[in-house]
Amino acid sequence: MLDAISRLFVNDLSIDLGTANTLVYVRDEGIVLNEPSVVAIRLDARGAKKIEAVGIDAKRMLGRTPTNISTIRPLRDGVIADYTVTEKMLQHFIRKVQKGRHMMRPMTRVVVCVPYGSTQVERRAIRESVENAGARKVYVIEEPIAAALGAGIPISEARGSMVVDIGGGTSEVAVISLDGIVYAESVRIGGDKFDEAIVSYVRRQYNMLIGEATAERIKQEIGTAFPSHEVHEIDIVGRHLAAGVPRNFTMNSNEVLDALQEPLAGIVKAVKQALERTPPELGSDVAERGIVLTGGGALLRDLDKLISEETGLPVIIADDPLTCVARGGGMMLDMLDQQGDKFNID
Amino acid sequence: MTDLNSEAGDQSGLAGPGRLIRRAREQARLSIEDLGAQIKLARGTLDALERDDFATLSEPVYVRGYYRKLSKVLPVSETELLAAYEKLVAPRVPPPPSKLILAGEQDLGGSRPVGLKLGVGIVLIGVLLGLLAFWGSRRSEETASGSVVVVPPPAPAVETPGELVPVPTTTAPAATSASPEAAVSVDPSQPPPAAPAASLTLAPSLAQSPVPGLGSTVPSAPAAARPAGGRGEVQLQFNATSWTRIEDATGKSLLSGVIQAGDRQTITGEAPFAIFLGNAPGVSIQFNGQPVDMSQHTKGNNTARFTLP
Repeated sequence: MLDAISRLFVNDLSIDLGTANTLVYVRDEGIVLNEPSVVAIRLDARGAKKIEAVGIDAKRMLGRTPTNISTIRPLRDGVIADYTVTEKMLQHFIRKVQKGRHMMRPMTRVVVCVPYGSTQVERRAIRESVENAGARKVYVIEEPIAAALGAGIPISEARGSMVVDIGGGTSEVAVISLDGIVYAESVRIGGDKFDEAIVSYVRRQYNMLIGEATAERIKQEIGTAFPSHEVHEIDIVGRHLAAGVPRNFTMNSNEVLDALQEPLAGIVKAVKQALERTPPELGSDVAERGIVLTGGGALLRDLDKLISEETGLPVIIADDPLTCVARGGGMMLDMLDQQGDKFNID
Repeated sequence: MTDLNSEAGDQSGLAGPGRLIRRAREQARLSIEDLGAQIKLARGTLDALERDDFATLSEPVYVRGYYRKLSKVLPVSETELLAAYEKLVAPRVPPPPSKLILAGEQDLGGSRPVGLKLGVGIVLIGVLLGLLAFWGSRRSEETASGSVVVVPPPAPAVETPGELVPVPTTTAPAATSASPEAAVSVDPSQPPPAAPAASLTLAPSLAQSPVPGLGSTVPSAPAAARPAGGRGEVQLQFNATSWTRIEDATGKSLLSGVIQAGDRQTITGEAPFAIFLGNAPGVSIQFNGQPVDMSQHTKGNNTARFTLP
């Protein structure tokens, strides 16, 4: 009864503050916001900065802005690169989520995820950024735990489970058992590195310059992590570096695979290293059930096959891998009322 | 062996995804071993999948993942398999964690308990009060022993160095806070007993304070003005505003701050004195009654730093 009354005034959110996308999960409602972590800033005549657009609107402007507007991605490698802009972006998203929804709920509790390998300073920056964006209480959890929970892995059992969360900025590999991380490794390789690799491949092979947005489109449409008989093609327009004019060219999925070799090898290496360092009992649990892939990177075609071939273990992709972390944070929100007093920070 | 398993599957999983898998596998002419090698799944797991033995299989996340993998290598669609699975098994909410798992940063988190905040606040206030008390007591000590005498410029009588009565240190607190009436000047031509009635004007506080042997010391004022032992006396006349700092031999600060034009300061303490003047040309100094020439110590920016004697 008391819980029901108190929940009338409490607004619980779980935020996956990602390098590429920010997702907001509202308790009892699910994922209500999934927008790119991009902010467009206009510089006026007096030199003052003004937020022009945030999220999807800002991403549309990426690489297409006049000189007085700059599009910023305030997070890099899973952590805050521009504190003020991150704060403004979060403010915008929280307001957008709460608009007409929880006007009578002044208390906002937020679960926010941080990469496992982030430093104390980076974690503090994320916490304070969320606090300044309007959260009354902030709970920080590590991404591998949230990803495993969101994927539906029973982390409380005395069985080893391996989760590989490939995000925009980082990839997290973790072995979890009995609600705790047995081994985890965070490598700063993710979707952004894939895009960069495609940009540099195109420059090297075609002498053409393409933007990040185009590279991302190539990755999403024909990107693959494992050779296949089925070859896909995409038509691209880039700027020829020698001629200096836009030119058309066609790229196929095998070329993208070639371009992605280096970042993919980094992820595979991290997974193998995790398996090497996992205690044998937990390792056999992982071998029996398989490795679970989460995060936007899991959507890269045949990435599961690559990791499976490299490790000899079954690799499966979680349901809706993009939202696993935010949903896992949402499950933590349910725990706040049950065990909040025990772990509460206030 | 395979046949036995197939028969078991026929009996237990007629309507389930297991049947679809087995049919697709047979259609593709693959044995369970071959299929397992392709998708790296153990034979036991594949058997359980074909038998729809969900008690043996793991959580739904794994089962659905296996179906997705199988649909990539077998002629069966993912949606068909998943739909058959959903029909057979009611969707389950993933198991929640048994406890709230917070990141390590939580220990150092920005939001601290109210009690802790209160405790920190009380400790800070306590430290602040302690510092204030310490500073106050130190200041009163300095005032008691530092013997700073403020002598205002409009002296009521003509003074000579010998005419200045050395002020005992015990009178210092009253003299420091004294108004212009605290100035003590004695005309040596006047007989000592007549002094209170003549040109000598005493502030009430000074009049009440014990000035031992005032009458007898006045005639021998020049001798008495020179302090005994290592003590010395510095008189400063400020013709212009100047930053001034004077420290005695023990390093104790006797005077520090901006002194306004027209003020006059008399400092006694353990010699030698380290003196720093911000505007040396605007200050004239006498040490034990003798004028001090600061020209050789004065720098181009009018500051002077020297030691007396």
